[in-house]
Amino acid sequence: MRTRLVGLLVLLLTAAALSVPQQPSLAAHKWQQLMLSRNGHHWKPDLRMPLFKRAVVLVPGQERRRTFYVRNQSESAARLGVTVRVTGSKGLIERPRFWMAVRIRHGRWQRISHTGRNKVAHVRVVKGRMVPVTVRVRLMPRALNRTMDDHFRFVTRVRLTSLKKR
Amino acid sequence: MSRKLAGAFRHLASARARAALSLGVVLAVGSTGTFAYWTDDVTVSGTAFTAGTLDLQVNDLNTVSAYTTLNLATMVPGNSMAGTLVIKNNGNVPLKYTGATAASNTDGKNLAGNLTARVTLGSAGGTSPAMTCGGTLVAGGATTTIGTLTTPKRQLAPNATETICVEVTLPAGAPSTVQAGKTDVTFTFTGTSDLS
Repeated sequence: MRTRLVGLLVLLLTAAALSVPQQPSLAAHKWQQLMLSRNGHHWKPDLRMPLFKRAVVLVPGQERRRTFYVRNQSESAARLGVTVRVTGSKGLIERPRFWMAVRIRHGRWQRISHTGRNKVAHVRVVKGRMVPVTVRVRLMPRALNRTMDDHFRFVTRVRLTSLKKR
Repeated sequence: MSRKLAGAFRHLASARARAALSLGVVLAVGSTGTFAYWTDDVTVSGTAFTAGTLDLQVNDLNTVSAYTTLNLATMVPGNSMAGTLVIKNNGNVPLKYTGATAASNTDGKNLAGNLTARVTLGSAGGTSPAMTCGGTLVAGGATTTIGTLTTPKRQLAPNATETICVEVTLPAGAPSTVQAGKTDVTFTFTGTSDLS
């Protein structure tokens, strides 16, 4: 009876330890295998300048689109995650006649429809592969006056995660 | 039941149990360090998107309710009145505006149908009841009645202004049926962000 109880406790503790979400080890902080480019030719660890110009003013019928490129330069396949964080919106991002979306490669557009964190994609990228990420914003031609003078900010976060455990 | 619990705690206090629990902790720490994934993050700063503001004003107002410059109580054939209006783009995006008139005929004398109108880019000259508009003609003319006047689209940059002059004439050949007639004229200016 006593042996069983002890065995059960050991089993429970081990299972609990294994079920804790695995955090990257300290060594992983130096794993810089993600490179970015505006044109697919010149690569840097980040884009340095904002994706669009500092402040874009839109009127109905206007559209803005920018593409940047992400490359997996690690030694193996990895998973690419893209999220968009929207802040400061007074409601523009939620309006039906305002449309913001992100597309990975040539897949379908993932709409960014609310303030906060918007998960866009999680795709597998083979070693050395370049992936285009396109951000598109459009104010529909029939947008009403209530869309006037509203604004928001956004940042796009790309994360490359190795598929192999270290 | 309480006797069973007391027994369990006795077992936990034993040296073997403590050793086994320590092993669990070692396993937990070991597993955290062993099965990590490597990640690399980059944040791409976006920008601020703003829906523009479109605000068309006339004489620095959104509604001009007391524009009496064109009033003439005793108009006779051959008289004309002229007045200027300042059109302003008070927004932060370019706009195009048009102007249109509507005139009442509540007394049935059809004075509005006999008043001709023209709009120029310029200033008013002369004295009542013989005022005229100088400058380039934008819309209207000798046969355009006041109730059917429309100006073509004109573009204004943000914060830009444009002065237009409106001239209203009762032609020399106006019929006598318009005597003592009265009409109220409304000018409506509409701005749009559509620059096509």
